[in-house]
Amino acid sequence: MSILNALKFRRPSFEDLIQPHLKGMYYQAYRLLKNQSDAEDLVQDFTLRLYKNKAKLHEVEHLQSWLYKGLYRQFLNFIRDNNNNPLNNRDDTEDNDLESSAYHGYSPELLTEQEMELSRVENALSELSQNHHHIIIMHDIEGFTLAEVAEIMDTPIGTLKSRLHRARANLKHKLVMEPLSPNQCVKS
Amino acid sequence: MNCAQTRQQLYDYIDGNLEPLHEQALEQHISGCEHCKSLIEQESKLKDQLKTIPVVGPSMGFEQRIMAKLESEKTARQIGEHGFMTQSWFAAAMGGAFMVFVMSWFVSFDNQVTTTTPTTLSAVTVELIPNQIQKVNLAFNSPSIIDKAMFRIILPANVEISGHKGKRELQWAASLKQGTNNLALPLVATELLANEKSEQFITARISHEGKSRDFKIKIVSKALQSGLQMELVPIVVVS
Repeated sequence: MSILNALKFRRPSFEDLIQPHLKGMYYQAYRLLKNQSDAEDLVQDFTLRLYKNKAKLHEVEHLQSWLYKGLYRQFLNFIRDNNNNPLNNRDDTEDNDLESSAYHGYSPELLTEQEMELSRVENALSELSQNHHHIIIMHDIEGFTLAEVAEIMDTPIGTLKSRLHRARANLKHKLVMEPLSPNQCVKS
Repeated sequence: MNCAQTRQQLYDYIDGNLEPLHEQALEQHISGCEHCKSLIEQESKLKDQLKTIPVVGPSMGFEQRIMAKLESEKTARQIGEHGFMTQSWFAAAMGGAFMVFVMSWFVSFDNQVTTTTPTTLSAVTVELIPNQIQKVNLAFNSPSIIDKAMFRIILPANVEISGHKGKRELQWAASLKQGTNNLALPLVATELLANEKSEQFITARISHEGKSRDFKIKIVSKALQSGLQMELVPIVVVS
């Protein structure tokens, strides 16, 4: 067999399969955790855990949603462990505060109206309950179908559909109820 | 279709989940109903805004770090599957591109043995160029099989194991076979090493059924023009 043929028929390695998804997984993790370092750690830990069962990866049909499902499980374990560890809680809060203020630069005069609206949406989203927050991330932001979200969250599709509707309604409610929204500001 | 039905099917419409006939009926309704039209516009706008919420990208070298971790996980797996590196693996490593230095100890958890003696007392000198991997091989001679031992590597502040950036300790479960058990440590010196004057140690701690043995390597480092020179000295163990 020529070298070219050998290359052609080489089974993709674990690294070949996982590398194209690393950045995507990071963004998914970041949307859930809102912290760069935690998101990177989550993806790294998940990838290493996956490596231990690497044979499975070759059998997966829809790799992206399968990876997200695993990553989401890892995320749930991560927040459960962190909630049990008071030291981690304290550190996370500090990191989040620092990072979000450094990144967003929440100085009112530097934000355009559009950016202010986005930060309001972001804040309202983070105030939702965990289930509502996550379904909006997965469905409305990441673009997974309800069938895929059902698989990821291990929840019947009917339950998810009504949960998504309630989540969106709650989000809207929070946005409308928030004081001093741009539309409510009285211009002098 | 009336306003109530439109509101009921609003999300399905936005998500593109409506049957063509229902979609047509809804569009017909909103073409004549400003209220429902504005409701749909608001929802669509919100959905678009959600997608544009800014996210912080990964730090530089994120993918490379994970791939390096995977590489070192492969090494760790060899340890996990076979207890330690097999003799054939060790022979291959000796013939490979990396220079491998061997330090050898005798390990026993027998209460009769009060000291665990390095069988190779001579020091080896390793030149470490910052951020380049240098493999150092540790050999542990065990008089019997030791099942389910816990292995812990404790590193000084200026030395890391490749793929485990910033980690001062690594721990995993392994079994020791009777005879020689080899453990290759892919060491990487950090920039800090050049300024380090105090005495440093790499410790390999093996624990088994409530007992533990420490195997220490003393690092004597000095800065060179090209990098750093480390003298690795296996020392008698404190249990």
